[in-house]
This record gives sequence, structure tokens and C-alpha cells, in this order.
Amino acid sequence: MATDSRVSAVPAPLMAICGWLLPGAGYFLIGQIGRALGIGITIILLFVAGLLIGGVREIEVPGFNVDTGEKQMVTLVDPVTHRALLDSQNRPQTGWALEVSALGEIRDKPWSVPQVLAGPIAIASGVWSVHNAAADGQTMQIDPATGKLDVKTGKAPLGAISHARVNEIGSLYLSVAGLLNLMAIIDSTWRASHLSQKRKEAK
Amino acid sequence: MMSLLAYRLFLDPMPVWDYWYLLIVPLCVAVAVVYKSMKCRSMSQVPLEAGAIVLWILGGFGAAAVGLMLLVNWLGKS
Repeated sequence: MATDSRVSAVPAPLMAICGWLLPGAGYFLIGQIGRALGIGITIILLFVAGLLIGGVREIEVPGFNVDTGEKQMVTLVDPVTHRALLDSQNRPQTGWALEVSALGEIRDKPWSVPQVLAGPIAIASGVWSVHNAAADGQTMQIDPATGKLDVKTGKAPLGAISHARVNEIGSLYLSVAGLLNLMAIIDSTWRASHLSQKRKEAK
Repeated sequence: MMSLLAYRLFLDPMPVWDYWYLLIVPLCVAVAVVYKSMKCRSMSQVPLEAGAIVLWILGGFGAAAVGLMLLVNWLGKS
């Protein structure tokens, strides 16, 4: 069978990495093209639908301020006295949140964990989210009196942040896409190792 | 209409505030298609099997919603 001959050439860890890089790619490597396309396209469509629903800024990237897109800085604290560390000018010392307390920062943005499982598309969307949070965009409002679109440049983020249910549902779509990709990675890797084992036993 | 005119793809949230509950359908379809794609031996079985599981999921959500509504009403009265 074509499937079996391909399996032996692909180690399981490599399959898992390929499955993360491109949803459904793990199945492609064991020759299950239909399954690869069905699963891969569905996961990518679900992720894109999540971005459409909540807007790209619904992605909260650990280490970056949600409102400004700048690096999230935190005050450095002495681990013994629990007091803020001060510099030579008696000002509180600060550090990048991801360097000072990576776990704490990720815990503050828990949706980012399942979302990143969707692959590089999630990382690219995170970069786009941070870019769109920068305050160099345009504000657009429709004047209720005249009905005309009033565009002002500068001072506002490029992208709008979503709230309430639209934000929750968009985040849910992105996270479910990531979790489904994790399922696909596990399933394709298991299939590869299982088929490989069967092939060895048949020899 | 006003919100649709100012809408920018991906930069603004979709104006779906009035029918957000319908967004459960594509989510269920995606979960069902991926799940059944893994379970079924042949991909030709997937559409029918996924359709059936979508109905089950939506039925389950509907039943849970009705059950919770009845419970809340009962707790409100007692």
C-alpha cells in the first residue's frame, strides 16, 4: 500500500511539527490526502472565521499591551521583601513581562495557549493584532446629523477591539481551531506510528 | 446599515450583535467535520455522519437551554 511505504519515512515528532506548521499536514505525510484536506481546510476556515467575528485585535499576545500594542512592562519586585526594586534615581525598576514572569503573563492571557496550537497562522495573527493596536490609525465615525463619514487620521488604533459576546465567540472559534489541530496532530501521529508498527510486524 | 458602512474586514468586529446565537452552527459544523474525519474509515462517510452529529450537538444545546430556562424560572418563583 502507498500509505505504508510513506509512513516508515516520516518519524512521529516530525509529523507532529508538520501538523502544527500546516493543519492537516500530518495526514498528508501518511498519504491520506482527503483527510488532510478535510481537516486542514476546516481548521483554517474556523480560525479565519474567528478573526472575522471578533476582529484581529481579539488576539491577546502575551508580553504586549492589549490597548497600545507596546511591550508590557511590569515593576520588578524583590523576592524576599516583596517591595519594588528602585534604580539610582529612586524610581521603580521595570522589565518586560515575558522576561520577568512568563508564566504569569501567559496565565493573564489564557486564550493564547489553545490559539497558538493552530500553527503559524496564529502567530502571524498575533503579530497583526499587535500592529493594529498601535496608535497610528484612523478614526471613522458617521455624523448622525449629515450622515457623512468623518475620518480623522492618527491617535487611534488601526483596529477596533471587540467586547462582550462577539469577543468571546471570536476567541472561542480561534481556541477551538487550535484544539482541533492538537487533536489532528495526535491522531495523525498515532496513525503513523500504528501503521509503522503493523508494517514491522508484517516483515 | 450605518455600522455596515464603516465596517473594515478583520479590523472591526463583525456586526452580529443581534444574532450572535446563530454563530454556534458553524462552530458545531467545524467540530463535527474534524471529529468525523478522524473517526470515519472513508471520507465519503463524513458528510452524513457529521450532519447527524451536528443535529445531536444542537439538540443537546437546545435541551440544555430549555432545562436551564425552566430551572431559572422555577428558582425565581420559589
